[in-house]
Parts: sequence; structure tokens; C-alpha cells
Amino acid sequence: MVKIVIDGHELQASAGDMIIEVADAADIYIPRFCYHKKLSIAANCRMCLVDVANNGKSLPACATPVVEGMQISTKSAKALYSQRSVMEFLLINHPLDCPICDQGGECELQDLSMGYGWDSSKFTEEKRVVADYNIGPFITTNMTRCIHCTRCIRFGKEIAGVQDLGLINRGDDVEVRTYVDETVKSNLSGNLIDICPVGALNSKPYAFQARSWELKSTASIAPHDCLGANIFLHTREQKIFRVVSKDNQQVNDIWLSDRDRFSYLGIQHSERLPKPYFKESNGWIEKNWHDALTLTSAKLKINIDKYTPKQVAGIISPNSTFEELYLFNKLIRALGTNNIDHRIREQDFSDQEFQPLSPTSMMSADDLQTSDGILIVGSNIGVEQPLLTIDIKSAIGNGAKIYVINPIDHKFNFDIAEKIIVNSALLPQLLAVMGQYDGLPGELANSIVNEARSIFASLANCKKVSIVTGAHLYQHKHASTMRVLLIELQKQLSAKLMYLTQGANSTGAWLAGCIPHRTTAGEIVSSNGLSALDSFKENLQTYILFGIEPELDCLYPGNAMNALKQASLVIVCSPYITEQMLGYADIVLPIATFAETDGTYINLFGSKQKTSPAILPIYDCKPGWEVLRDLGNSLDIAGMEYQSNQEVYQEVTDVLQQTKYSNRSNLNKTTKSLKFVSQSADLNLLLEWPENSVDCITRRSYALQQANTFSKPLAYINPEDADRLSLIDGEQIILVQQVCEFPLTLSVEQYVPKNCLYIPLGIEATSNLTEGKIEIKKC
Amino acid sequence: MIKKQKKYVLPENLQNKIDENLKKYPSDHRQSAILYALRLTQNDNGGWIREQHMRAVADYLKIDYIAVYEVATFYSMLKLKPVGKSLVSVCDNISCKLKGADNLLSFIEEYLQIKTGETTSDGLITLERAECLGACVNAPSMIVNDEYQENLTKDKVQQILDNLSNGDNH
Ligand code: SF4
Ligand code: FES
Ligand code: FES
Repeated sequence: MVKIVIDGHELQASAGDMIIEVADAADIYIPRFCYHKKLSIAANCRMCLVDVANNGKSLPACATPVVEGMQISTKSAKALYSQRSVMEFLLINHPLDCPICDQGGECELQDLSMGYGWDSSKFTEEKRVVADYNIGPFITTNMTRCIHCTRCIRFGKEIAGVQDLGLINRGDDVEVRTYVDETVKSNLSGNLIDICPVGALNSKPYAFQARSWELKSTASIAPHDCLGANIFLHTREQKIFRVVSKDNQQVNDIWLSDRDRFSYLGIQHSERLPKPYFKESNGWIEKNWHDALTLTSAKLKINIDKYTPKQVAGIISPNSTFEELYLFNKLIRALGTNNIDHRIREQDFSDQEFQPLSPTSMMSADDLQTSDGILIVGSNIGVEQPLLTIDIKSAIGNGAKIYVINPIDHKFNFDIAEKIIVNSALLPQLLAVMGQYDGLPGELANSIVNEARSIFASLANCKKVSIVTGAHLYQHKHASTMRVLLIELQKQLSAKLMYLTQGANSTGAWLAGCIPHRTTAGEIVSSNGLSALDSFKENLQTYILFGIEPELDCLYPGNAMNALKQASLVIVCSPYITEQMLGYADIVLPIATFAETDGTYINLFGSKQKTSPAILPIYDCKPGWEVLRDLGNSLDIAGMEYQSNQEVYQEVTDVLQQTKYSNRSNLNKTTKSLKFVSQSADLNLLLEWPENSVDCITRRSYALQQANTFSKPLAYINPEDADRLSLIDGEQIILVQQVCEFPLTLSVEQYVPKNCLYIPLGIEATSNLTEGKIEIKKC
Repeated sequence: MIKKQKKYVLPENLQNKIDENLKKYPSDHRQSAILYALRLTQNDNGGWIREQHMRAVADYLKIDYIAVYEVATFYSMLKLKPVGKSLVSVCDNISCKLKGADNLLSFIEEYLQIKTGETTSDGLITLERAECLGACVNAPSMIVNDEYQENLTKDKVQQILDNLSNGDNH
């Protein structure tokens, strides 16, 4: 520790700290542009010059370490003169266009020139003008405004893990640009808008929409992935204008993924349903809520009487709030059925009895950052949880090594020490080999077995291991086998296990009881109901859907479509109405999106995060919890007379508190027979959701859709398979299943493993895909 | 129909030379070899660097494209546009300027019928201005195809240009 004096205040600091850090901690403000607490030090703007006693020149506070006895003045005549001179210099080429600049009112340059500038400039020459260019759907460029602080460049290198922007040319020709004419690629690029201190990089969808001081700010949660980033929704007169990040060290730090930042564009979309909508003999008609509820419950009762409660299934989106999930559970069970599920992207449920109370990860983001070995199993983590890759990067910064086992060679924005890519059919075997499990079919090539053993050996040498697993695992045909093997592996490595679960609220769904074998708080039901997939395969009579578009949200959308089309009653609670929905639904009840209602989301670390409504529900929509409550009341279900969402929350928390078991996991190899499949000669399907098409809201954000990679109607295969089947890249093909055919374009890619057919779900082209064999036919 | 273009990869002899160069730097500093790799590529491709070459260098060094682009646009020795058979770089910094570099430059422009930065229509000579060549003692100076030409006069320059136009590179 050293003692220093800043502006007359005696302060303690650790030697080596920069003056600016010490001053910040003591709430003494020093002006700055290039310095940013989350980025490396560049010291190129010189705005932070301060007067250090016994030093001839003023020194940059961001790059001057403190030493014992340092006497610093941030406001002496010399300091002020230095700061003003730098300010004048920075403004030489900066345009005076604040009135038409979106940054105006929240611009660091504007603020600092007020606080630390001269009122006029000696510069009378011509200003430099720099051309703007298109870097994608999220960010506008006004490069004449750039002050070359290089924050954006350092952000790319240090946080996003891809350097999109750089400084090209030199001297007074210098410009911040992307490579030649490319757009920015990172899915964290929206943070550039926040990080740029001036109006050079601004939000494109927000361009010229509002002034920052007119906007009202409401804290909320972005419910598109299981992290639940903290956001502020900025609104004016019942319209959402933009989303900015809300600082939360434990969750998203100061960052947001583009998906979280720009999903709001889908909220006020033209497909929003204004009023309850009913199919009648002479077509679709709108109804008021009173009639809608009476009619819905009447129809439901008739159907149940006619076909028994066993013919009812309720399927809810894992992105619903905890309260909605709880009420949905209460409603469906009261109808006399246990066919309830939120696991719309899973197909292997055989271990459900042995699963813990919820799939919450018993670790924190901090654990990930401090691990020295991280094993990623079956996850495209950069797409599933873009923000967690920042934690992984900081782990790497601390010396961690990353190992990957995946069914496809996903590109990551961090360095990988070793990876094994195998056909997804072989993933369970690979895990078994790693965990030294014996009794295997032994189909893996020796080289792969050796690699797996070597990764295991490297991990065994680490002090703190984290295993992260995601969609390629939970979507897998033999997910339960893999879960058992992962737990074995976890024990052997004394590792922490992180489940990247589906949707924003899987934990909430398990706790609330939206699973067919347990109700709220894990209480076992008398007889297991059907899972989402099974209830579709069984072709039941009545379906109640909440917040999902099955043709785009379910793992085998074709199975869902077939079931819904034959059912006699399909009730859909959805914010949107689509052509497809009119084809299978009988009743559509309009519900509010996350921005229009309050609710709770429980993230993968188990933290309960609350939202409050930023705008009123648009048109005649109602918050989901109200719809479920009202439906419950008109069905005369007891105990549904809530006055507020808070009451619902209170009730479910009380039930949870009374629960006797906190964690009932007894998944291990004795409780579950392991299933291994051989890699057959058929093409093995590998399905994935495009990163910006994960739910009904993101699919309707035009900006997100423009940036959506992997959402084109393409089918990807390995070059060897292409040769074997004499197919060529770019060729039109038809995928054939028992009843349906769908045309796609072939893309031949080295990163796809052999015998694999990799296709996107969540897009129209594949919305009829069913479980079962698939063949490629030439056009 | 999406057709992938065949990707240009660095020829093996260049790869070997780059590998050799990389040995000088810590293994996690592969970007250190950008400048060397770009110069090699430039010499290997008729004196200028095409976009695909920048990509190939970045791919080979496993770094982001923009990192290569930054270097390629920074150094005036690296050309991102075609250059003629001969390259004439005339210094116009302080010493040379005092000794009449401006006149020399306009003389050359007139003589070759091109502007600074352009190439003669026969593709033989490209004219450019250069920063101080470190040859101030013998100002005005220029570099022609990697060779210094100093104490320049109009006559001397004319002689040199005539030689170049006659296909004599030195
Ligand atoms: S664009 Fe913004 S962040 Fe990037 S260098 Fe310019 S001023 Fe700094
Ligand atoms: S903030 Fe210190 S030099 Fe830029
Ligand atoms: S100024 Fe021309 S060589 Fe130095």
C-alpha cells in the first residue's frame, strides 16, 4: 500500500494502481475518453492529463501508476490548461452536429467539452470528413465523429473475441473500419454502441427515433436465454425505443448480446393479435374477453367430457415467467391430466425420475471465470449463451485451457486447447471413453479414444474444472445416457457442471411443475403424464399451448403439426397470430410479452430475477398470468382468485419452502441403463436453432433477422458424404420423410462430421420435419 | 445458388519462409509476422497485394482479417493497387522539398503524362510520393525499384525515366 494525495485528499492505494483507478474509487472525477474500466489501457486520447508534483509535464492518469507520496492535482491551473488544450485538439476535426446526433445528451465528448473545454477554438482551417459505411443492421457509422480512442477495437479483441474493427491508414488519414467492406460479425457487437464515447457508432434501429432525455427507463430481464441478462427498456408514450444494458456483476456484467439488445423490435410487430380470436363455422371472429373466457371454458369442458381428461395436453414455452408456469401447472392439473410439459426441444426423457428438482447449475459465473480447465460438451455456447463466452475468455486470460467435444466443429470466439468432433451418434460413446466406463460397443477410432484419454488426463491435472453442456446434449436421442456419463465424469474430475438449459426459465418450469411426472416443488404425481413430444405423437384431442409456435419452436415440428391438425380443440395463448396458427388453432388468446407484464425468471445459476412492465399490454392483450387466472376462474377451479402477480409468486414460493427435498438427484449408472447406438450408414440428423430465431419475439425483430446466420433454407453435409452421394455444393435437394418432402439447398462444409445432415429448425422451410428416417433426393 | 469461390492459399514456399520468420517471435504472437508475410506475398504477386492475399495471410497466421488490413494500409511500401513494372518513389519531405522536390515531381508528372499515384498507360512506370528516405544529405532523392537515386536534377531524372521506359529496370 502507498499513500498519495489527490486534490488534497489523502488516499491509500496499492502500488501499481493507475491514478485514474484510485481517483475513481475515491469519487474524484478525471475526464477520459480512451480509458474504460473493462478494457486494456491505450492512453492515446490524453484527456486524463493531471498535474503530478515534481513532474515537468502533466501525466495521463490512466497510464501513470501511483507511487508513495505522489501529490496529484486534477484541477490545478496546469491540469486544467492541459485538459482544455487536449479538448481543443480533439474537437479540431469533430463536427458540430450535436443537434442531429443520436448520442447528443448522453455523449461523453459533449459533456466533457462543457466541463473541460474552452468556449472557442483557434482552429479555422477545413475539417476532415470521413465516409460512413455499412457495418450491419445494428450499428450506424458516423466516422467523422470518431476521436480514435480505439475503445471499439479493444472491445473486439478483448471482450468479443473477434476483432471486427481496426484502424486503417495512418496519420491524418486514419480511419476506424471493418475489413474491406465486411459487416461486423460478433454477436456482442451492440455493445459498441455503449462503448463508443461519441456518436461515431450508434444504434441503427434507434436512429433519429427519440432523444435520450425524453425516455423513461424500466429495469427488466431479457428472456431469450437461460442467463437472463439485465436490461433497461427505454420507452416513451407506450412505445419501446431501445434496450440498454443494466450492470449486474453476477449475470451480464455491463454487456448484452445482440439478441437481448434488439429483440424489442419484435414486440410491437404487425402480427400482434389485438383481441381474442375464435374459429367459427363461418370463419374467424374477434371476441371480447368476457365472452372469450366463457366460450373457451365451455368448449374445454365439452371436450373433456367427451374424450376424458387424458386427451388433454398443455405445453408451455420455457420462456414463460415463473408465475405463468405455476398457474399453467395449476390449471392443467385441475383439468385432470398430467400431460404437461415445457421441454419442447428434448426427446429422451427416460431419466426424468432421477433428475434433481431442477436443472439449475450448482455454480456461478465466477466459478467459470476461475476454472483452470473447462470442458464444453455438446454446446454451441457462443450462440446459446453469447455472454458466457466473455467469462470463458477471462478464464483463458487467467491461464485456463478449454476443451471441446461437439457433434459439429462450431467456431468459437475463444481459443481452444483441444477438441474432438464426432458424429452426434457417437457422442455417448465418447463420453463413456472419457469417463473410463467399460462395457462399450467400441466403435470409436483408436485415435479418437486416445485424444479423449488425453483430454481427460489434462483435465485431471487441473485444480478447478467446469463442464459446460448445452443444446446438442439435451436435444440428443440419448440425452439421458449422456447425462449419467457426465455426472460420472464430473465426480471423477471433482468438477462443477453447468447446464445451458432451453429457454429463459427451465429452472422455473421444473420448480413450478410444468413436467409430466412431478408437480410443483417436485411432488410426485400418481401417474406420469405424457411429455411434449409424446403428447404430439399420441394425437390427442385437446391441446392448450402457451407462448409457443410449435412449427418453429418444437424439436420435431412436423409431429406437433400433425397432432394439432387432427385435434378437435386447440387453444393457443400467444402474443402473435400467423397463417399457420389459423390452420391448427380453434381459439387464440392474445397475451402480453415480457415487456408488458411483471414476472420472475430463474436463471441457470438459480437466481430469481424480476421484471416490471415497461409499457401497458398493447391492444386488448392481457398478461399471461391474468389469462390463466381468468380461465381458471371461469372453469371454477378453486384457489385461482389472485389479485396480483405478486400473490401468485408468494404462493409458489411458500409451496417451495415447504418442500422436503432440496435436491433429489440420484442419477448414476446403476439407476439407468445406458444406451449406445452405432453410427449407422444413414445420415444422422443434427438440428439447431439459428441464434436469432429462438422464440416468437426474436423471430420478429427485423434487425435480428437481418443478422441471422444459419437461418437460410440450407442443409449442410460433409464433402465426403457429398461425393459418396454425388451431390455438389449449392445444389437443390429434397429431403424426404414418410409423408412430407422439403426442398433445401445443399451446402458442403468441412466442419460437418461424416454421416451427418445438419439443418436449421425454427425456420419455415423445416417446419414439417418429423421424427424418423430422412433421405436426400436429387432435384 | 450459392457457389463457394475457391480460396487462395499461400503457396508452400511462402508458408515455409513465414514459418522460418515466426521462429523469431513468441509462439502466441503470430501477428508479428504480418509485415514479413505481406511483403513476401507482394513480391510473389507482381508487386501488389490483392484482397485474397490479405485473407490468405490472415488465415495462415490464424488472426483476424482486419489485423492484416491495418498493417497493409499503414505502410506505403505495401501496395493495394496494381503498380507498373517500375516504381518511382519521390521524397517530398523537408530537405528534399527545400532542394526542389516539388518541381521535380511536377516535372515527372508532365514527362510521364500521369499524376502522382498513377501508372503510365503502357503499365511501365508508377509514380508516388514518399516520406523522408533518410537520404537528406544528398537531397533531392528518390527510390526507383528499390535503388536509391540521389542528388537529382531534371536531366538525371529524365535519363532514369527513359531507361525505365525502354524496359531497363535498373
Ligand atoms: S468509433 Fe468510437 S469507440 Fe471507436 S475509436 Fe472512434 S470514437 Fe473510439
Ligand atoms: S483516458 Fe487517459 S489517455 Fe485517454
Ligand atoms: S527529406 Fe527527402 S530524404 Fe529526407
